[in-house]
Amino acid sequence: MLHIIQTSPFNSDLLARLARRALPHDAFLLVGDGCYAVANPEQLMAAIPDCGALYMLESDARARGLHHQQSTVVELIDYDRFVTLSIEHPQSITW
Amino acid sequence: MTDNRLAIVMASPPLASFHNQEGLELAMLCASYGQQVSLFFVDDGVWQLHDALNANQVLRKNFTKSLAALEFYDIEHLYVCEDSLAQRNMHSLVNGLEIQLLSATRLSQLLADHQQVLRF
Repeated sequence: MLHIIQTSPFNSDLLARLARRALPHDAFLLVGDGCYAVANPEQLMAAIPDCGALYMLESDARARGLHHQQSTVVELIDYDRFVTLSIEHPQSITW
Repeated sequence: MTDNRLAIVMASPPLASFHNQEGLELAMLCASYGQQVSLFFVDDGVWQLHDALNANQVLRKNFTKSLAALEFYDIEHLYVCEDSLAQRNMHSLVNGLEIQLLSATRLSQLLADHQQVLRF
């Protein structure tokens, strides 16, 4: 399952809901306002299983000034990689 | 007009919607008609003040520049919630703005001094 996180995790229980739905080996992609999640890495990592992969769309992160947040294990990707991720995962869910 | 102060509360994150831009435009419009306007940045609205915001990256207008124009509209009361900043690990704000940092409680008290409150 590819979890596409596109809304800000602040002011909502988004990450708590995500943690309840996530399985080990799921992949997580931050896009749009979802990129704000990297501003609080502890909260983000607590919601994601240890073996899950974490990606962030670089252009959206740059627009929000978040691309240099080094504190999390997040892989910056472009739109082409976004497409391959969507193909690699039979299902995706948008948060 | 001193008894008719307008508070515009910016609570949405920038870029994904036009809420902030509309709030800012309304602030300038009202101020140009002589209304006393204060701007409050709270919750995800504080991202608007991020010093590395780069709207051009997602093909949006960089309207952080409009913030610098606020003083020409006599909008001098800018407030930001320091609790919201801390929650988001935001330590540096956009340069050149005279903006007051307030605790959530103090901000609410100040907000209560305004006759009209509009949230964006």
